[in-house]
Amino acid sequence: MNKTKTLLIAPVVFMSVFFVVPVANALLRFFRFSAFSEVLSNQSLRGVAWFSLWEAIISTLATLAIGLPVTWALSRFTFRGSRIARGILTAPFVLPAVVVAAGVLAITDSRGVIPIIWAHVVFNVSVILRIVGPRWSLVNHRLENGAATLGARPSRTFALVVWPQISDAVISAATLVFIYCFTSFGVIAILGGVSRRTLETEIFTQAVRLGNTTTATALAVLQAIIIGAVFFFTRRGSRLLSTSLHVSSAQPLQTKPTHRATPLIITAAAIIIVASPLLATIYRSLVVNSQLSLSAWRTIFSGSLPALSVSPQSVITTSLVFAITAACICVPVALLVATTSAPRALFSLPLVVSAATLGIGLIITFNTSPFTWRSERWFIPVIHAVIALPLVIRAIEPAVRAIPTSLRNASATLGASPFTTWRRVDVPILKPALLRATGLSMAVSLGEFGATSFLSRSGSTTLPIAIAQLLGRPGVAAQQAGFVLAALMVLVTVGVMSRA
Amino acid sequence: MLNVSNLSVAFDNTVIVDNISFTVPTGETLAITGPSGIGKTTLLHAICGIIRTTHGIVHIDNVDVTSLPTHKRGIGLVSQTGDLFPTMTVSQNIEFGLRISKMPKTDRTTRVHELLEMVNLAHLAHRDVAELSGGEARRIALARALAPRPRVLLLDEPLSGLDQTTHDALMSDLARVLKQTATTALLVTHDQSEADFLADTTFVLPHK
Repeated sequence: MNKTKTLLIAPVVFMSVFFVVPVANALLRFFRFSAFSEVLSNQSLRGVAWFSLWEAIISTLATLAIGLPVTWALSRFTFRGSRIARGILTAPFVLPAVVVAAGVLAITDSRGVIPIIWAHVVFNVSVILRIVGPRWSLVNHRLENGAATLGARPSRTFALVVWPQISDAVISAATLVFIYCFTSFGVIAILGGVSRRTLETEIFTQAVRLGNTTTATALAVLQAIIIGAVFFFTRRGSRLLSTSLHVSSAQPLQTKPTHRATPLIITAAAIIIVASPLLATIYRSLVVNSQLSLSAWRTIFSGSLPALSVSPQSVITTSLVFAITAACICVPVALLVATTSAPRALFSLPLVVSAATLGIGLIITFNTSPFTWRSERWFIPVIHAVIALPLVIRAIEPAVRAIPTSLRNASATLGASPFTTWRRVDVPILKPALLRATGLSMAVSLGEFGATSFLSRSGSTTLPIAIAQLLGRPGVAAQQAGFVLAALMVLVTVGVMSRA
Repeated sequence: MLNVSNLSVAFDNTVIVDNISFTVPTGETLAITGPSGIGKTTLLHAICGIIRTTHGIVHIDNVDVTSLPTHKRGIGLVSQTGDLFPTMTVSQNIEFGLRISKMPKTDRTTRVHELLEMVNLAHLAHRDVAELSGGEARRIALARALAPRPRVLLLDEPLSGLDQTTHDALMSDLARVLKQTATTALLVTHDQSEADFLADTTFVLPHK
């Protein structure tokens, strides 16, 4: 076995032990055809599946309706403030879903379908921008000019020249957005209330609250079948498994003076829709009884909250320790995967297998001796690392690919072994990408909610879990504390990502 | 001395280099010429072990190095683009091979200075490599390749893509440096005038 293959063993074993084995174990031990047919014949559960499906479809369409125009504006034109606009619109991608949900709740003050869709749009516009934007910016504008000189209207030019060049990126992005919305957990937990349940939240309820693992597994299989069907019908969408989430810069273009306002208006509208919930969390954390006050912040940093079983300081410390630990595991593993010929599909699985499905696998697999790890504190950051892995690999891989082979050849002819070349040539070049990857890994860990819900104990309560608990409790004090923690997460996540 | 015997390279059953043999005596320069796409760079990469040979043997100073990895062959390479390490300064680039060979710091500093003087770029020692002109980058690449005193130096179109003035100046300096260091060198070029100026002998790579 050569050295490259030896290096692959660690990441493959890591992924197999903490992802493949638990998910496979859940399916093999608890899947029953009888339970599956019971789920299909149960009117309540059928309703849950139907709601999951249509809210995901509407959320995806709404995201495309807002995301595609702003992607056009930012990938085809550069104007004053366009870089900042891009930063604002892509930031929610790394923000925790519960924080986005808390932001929408801060504005609407109500739960239900519209707030759910809004939260999904806030979270997913960045996915459209990140996947479609690079492709759209590569469309040669001379082709559009050529079509125009041949008499094509803008709509015909778009349909005949632009769309064929960006369609697969749009389908990839829409597929990913659908999967994110369909398996959304934090948003539904906070904004769904008691009446709006999805397959993802129902899997959690059945497995953790009702102890009905068989039904939960049947629901997980139903969810997987629907995701598989979406992949089948949008086959080109399966390209997302190899899609980079890198944001490219736009080619500077001059707009026609008469149309100059259009990209600006579209961008401003998208920013209002995306950024207002985030600002609202900060605003709500500062307003007590209709007056500006820092009292809620003081409570968080000085006292304890009756609504939480642990102190807020302990929650913050736990989240930060988990985020750092997860990054220490995730980034080296991702670097190994990105620099070797590891099977990419294996490491992309957390993108398409829901957190709740993984959660069931974890609680049943790591609940028996000698692997009673589900209650261990170290276990949560390890799972965070697994979940962050597909994104972190995509943050590192383009930088690895961009290193010219000739540099490694030059290093070898100067006497450096492959390992020395990797350490002295590759790693210094990869440093910026590794810093970004560390920030991304920490952001994913800070915001992870789905799988953590299955594993969290009172001693290991993370910020998203605490926010969901506080916002789910009655009383102004608990709500206020929830918004403070959400605002804190906005600030910490943006801080971590901007430093990276 | 570099001795190449019956060397062949093929990719997916397509023969790129077919049964080539030649010898470069110690301290001399052999130029390999031929049109683009005939396999000149492939031949160099096979000699320094970057790609595997299908057949043939490479001897350096009568030692068979065919099965050795690139980093153990003692062969220096100057490529068409220079390939300077972008995260290192000019000095650090030249020092790279010396650090790998664990040369003491004071000796390394002396050697780097000596090489910078040799290529007339001592004033650029601490410059970022991104700030170098094309000609300066080629000179630094040459200095870097010579630093560990390779037993054989391979030069892959080291003068291509330069403007005429820079090309002529660098060609003169290259001839001077090769003579001064008495390095055994193999030069690949498609320019017959470069071969005539720099090499003791010319070998025209035959069509496959």
